[in-house]
Formats: sequence, structure tokens, C-alpha cells
Amino acid sequence: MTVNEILMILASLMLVGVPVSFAVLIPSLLYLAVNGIPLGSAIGRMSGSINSFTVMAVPFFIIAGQVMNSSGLTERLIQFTRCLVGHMRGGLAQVNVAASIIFAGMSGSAVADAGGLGSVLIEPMKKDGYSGSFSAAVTAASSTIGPIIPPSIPMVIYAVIAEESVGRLFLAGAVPGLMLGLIMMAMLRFMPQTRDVMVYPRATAAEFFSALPAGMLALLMPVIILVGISAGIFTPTEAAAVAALYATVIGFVILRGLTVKSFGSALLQSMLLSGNVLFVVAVAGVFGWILAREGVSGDLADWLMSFDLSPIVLLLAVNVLLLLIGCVLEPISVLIVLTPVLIPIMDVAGIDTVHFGVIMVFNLMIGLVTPPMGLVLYVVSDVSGEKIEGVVKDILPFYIPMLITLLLITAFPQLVLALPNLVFG
Amino acid sequence: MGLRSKLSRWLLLVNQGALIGIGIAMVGIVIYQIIARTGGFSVRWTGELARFLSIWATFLAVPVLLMHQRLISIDYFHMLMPMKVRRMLTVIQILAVVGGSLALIWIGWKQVGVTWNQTSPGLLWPMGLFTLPIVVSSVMSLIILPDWGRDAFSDAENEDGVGTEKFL
Repeated sequence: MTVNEILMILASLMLVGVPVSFAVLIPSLLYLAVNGIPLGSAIGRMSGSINSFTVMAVPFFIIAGQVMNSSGLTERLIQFTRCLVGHMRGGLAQVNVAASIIFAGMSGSAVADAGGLGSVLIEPMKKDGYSGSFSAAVTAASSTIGPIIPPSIPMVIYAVIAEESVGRLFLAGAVPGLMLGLIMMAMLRFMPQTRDVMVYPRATAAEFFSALPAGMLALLMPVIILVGISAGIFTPTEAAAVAALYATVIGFVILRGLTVKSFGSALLQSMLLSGNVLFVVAVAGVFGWILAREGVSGDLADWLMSFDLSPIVLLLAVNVLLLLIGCVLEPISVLIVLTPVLIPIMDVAGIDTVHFGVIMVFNLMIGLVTPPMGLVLYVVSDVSGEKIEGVVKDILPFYIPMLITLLLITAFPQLVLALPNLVFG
Repeated sequence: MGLRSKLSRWLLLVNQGALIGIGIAMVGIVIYQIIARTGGFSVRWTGELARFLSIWATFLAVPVLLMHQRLISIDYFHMLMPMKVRRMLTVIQILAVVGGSLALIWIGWKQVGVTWNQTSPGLLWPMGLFTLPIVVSSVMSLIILPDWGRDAFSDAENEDGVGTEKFL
């Protein structure tokens, strides 16, 4: 049985809607059986892939985000960002993007950001004069910032597969995430959809200081994570556990928006979300081993190198590939399948794997808001009650800031690497 | 309600309770690890126990995710198909999960036996305990399968397709 046959079975099973984990598992087991490799090794690899201290950052960051959301911080965060940017042209649309930037520091998932902020912001945006589809489109587009600014669940998964430093990857995402948010906010000022909508009066000092504590509580979370990791106080996983504890204390003691019931529910949702991701990671351990055994990455690297592409052209070509794949596949699956294949190619081409990791995650986030498989589009369509076609039409202009940022970080690695190099050397 | 349905509901409830408990325990253990390290009394079992619980949590989540049709999947093309084809594809999905689960039970159980006498470095627990959740999760998945299959069929017959809950 060859890799091509495995890939064909995998693709067919995925396309007919078989859960990704089982679509990867079945051809992998068939490969082992046909090639006389002990099947028990698959079980060892499944368990071994998630028997990692770094991987545990995934459930912890999800717990932190979910608990923060359940404690009512989202509403307060929106009040805070309204004080900051609500007076600018584009009022609540600007608030939406600014809140996403801050929310990104608490949650590492675009889907969670879109669901959390969308349920609170879309209705008020409609009341302020925005169309429902535009409100949903702004929410979807801004939620892509979530997994780029630290903490980031896709970056943890990438770090585990690429054996790269989570701390470096987190810091590397900070500048591109902020750039994306700021370019989106600048674009909103000139969009016709923001011309005749409500703009809030500039916040008074009293309003600002009354909203400030909630904003500080939210902003403190990424500070704890990044300072803790950079200063060598915590490992990334320990920082994630501290973030989860911090969110719980904030929810119960300071905001008092958390009850035992809502805490239990947030915790259950977090464990289910992380189980969903880590089950795919577990199964992908077997698949990754098969790809390595067959030398797929080496062959592909040799083939690509035969074209004598410069690093920048290679990265641009990989961008196109990832954008296309991101349109039809879910990000975690793409990360798991393609990271082991692409990393050796990047190594040969002399491209920094932290730089490449940020580019890869960025591409996949664009995929999250690109039809036909853009999960975030479905989430905001569901939350807003708007038809997906309308949301897709209104999100089109937002590809401009996304693609500009992608091109900038592709062409200028220092935009990505300067911060981690400064902190970690 | 039949015995199997009762068992299925009971299993899901216990499973969900266990997931909440494991989540709290994992955070607690890692926080204790930080306190221990900064307090100068490092303990060697914390990392391993947290990883052990993380493995169990991952696999225990699978039957619950399966029951609520929330396992990551690509249903876009499936939902584009006419009703007859959609039903057929749903059968393929169910068969793939049944086949995969049966294989995991068979291979996993043997592997648990093989690794039972090896012990983990920190806790000195049988390594079989680290692979056992794969078997437990697959058995649970098969127990809840009729309920899941019924829901999968009703979703396949729903013109609007599956809601976004699947992805959240």
C-alpha cells in the first residue's frame, strides 16, 4: 500500500463526511496491516502523541477563554473598547475589531471569538444602522485575529508537530495580529458601510475609568502568559494553567459573574473542545509516522528544490497552496497533515520555522472565513440569523487587510521574528 | 426507554462528570507543580499525572462528541447531495466509525496487555493504563452508537443541514 493510496482513501472518507479522526485512522491502520507492521504500534503512537506536557496547553487555554466568557467579561470588555474607539467613524464596527484584539489575548480560537463576540455585538450593530450581514462579516473577519495574537491553540499544535518553541511562536504572532487589527480598523474608516451609522460621543474620563478595570483584567491575561514564559517563570503549559486559574478567580471573586453551574458548563465545553482537537492530534501521530517512513517530505522537498525557487517565491507558492486547502479543510486537520510534510522543505530552503509557523496559521485563519468550508462564516451566520451568501458578500473587502498583512509578513520575516529574537535571543 | 438507552445516558452523564473533574484536577496539579518548584520542593510525579489525565480526558470526550455529532468533520459536500445519496453517505460514516472503533478495541486491548507490565517513570503505574482509555472510549462509542446513528439520520434528512453547534 502506497502513500498515494492512503491519501486517496483519506480524502474520500473526509469528503463523504466521516469524522476527520476516523478518516485518518482507517487508512493508517490499513497501511500498517498491509505492510506487516505491528498494529499495536498505532495505539502506542496515538497515546504517545498526546502524552506531552506541551499539548496540555490546549485544554488550559480553552478553559481560560471559556471561563472568562462565562463570567460576563465579554460585555464589560466591549464597554471598555467602546470608550477607546467608539467615537471613531465606524463606531461599533471599530469596537468589534478592537474587542477582538483584546479578546485574542484571552482565547486562542477564532471560532470561540466569533461565537463570543458575535452573540454580544451583532444585534447592537444592527440597531446602530449596520446591515446584519455586514455586522456578521466584521465579526467573522476580526475573529481571525484570535489565533494569531497569543495565546493561540493552532500555534501550540504547530509547535508540538514542528518541535518548535511555543513561547517564540506566541511572541512571533503578536505583531502580525496587531497589524491585521489596525489595518482592518483603518479600512473601516473609509468603507461606505460605515458612513451613515451611529458614532458614540468620546468617552468622558469618568466613563473611561469606570470601564478600565474590566479592560485591565482582560489585558492582564496575555501579559501574565507572555511575561511568565519570557522571564522563564513558567513553561507555556504552566502559563496556560495559570491563565485558567486566573480566569476562574476573576469570574468567581472579582466579576462574580460565574456560578458553580456556569463554571461546570464552561469546563465541560472546554474539555470537549480540547478532546475534539487532541483526538485528531492523537490519530495524526500514526499518520505522521507513516509519512516519515515513506519519506514523503524528503521526496517533496527534492522535487520543489529542483525548481531552484528562492525562499520568498517558495513561501508565496506555499501561501497559495495553504489558502486553497484552507478553503476546503479545517485548520487543525491541515496543520496535522501538512506540517510534517512542509517543515523539512522549509529547513532545506533556510526558512525559519517560527516564521513559517506564523505564516501557516495566518493562511489557515483566512481559510476560516473563506467559503465553502469557512467554519467562522457558519458560526456568525448562525449567531446573526443572516444568510451565509450575504455574509460572504460583505466579508470580501476584509480579504484586503488579511492579504496585505500576509504578504508583508511573508516578505519581511523581521516583522514576525524581531520580537521573539529580542526576548529569547 | 430500553436498557441500552438507559446505559447510554448514564454513561454520558458519568463521562461528562469525569471530564469536569479531570479538568479541575489537571489545572490543580500543574499549579501545584509551579508552587512546588518555586517553593524548592519539586515533585517528580506532577507532570506525568497531568499528562495521564489529559490522555484520559481526550479519549473520554470522544463518545460525548460523537453523540452530539461534534467530532471535527467536513459535512459541506455531504449536505450538497440529494437526500438519497445523503442517507447512503450517512451509512458510510456510521460504518467507518464502527469499523474504526472495533479495530481500536481489538488492537488496543492487546496493546494494554502487552504494556501492562511496563511501568511509567514517575508514578510507576502500568503503562497499559495510558492506552486503556482508547479501548474504554471505543467501547462507549459503540454503546451510544444507535442513538448517534438515529440523530445522524435525522440530520441527514434535515434540509438545512447540521447546525454550527457541530463546530463549536
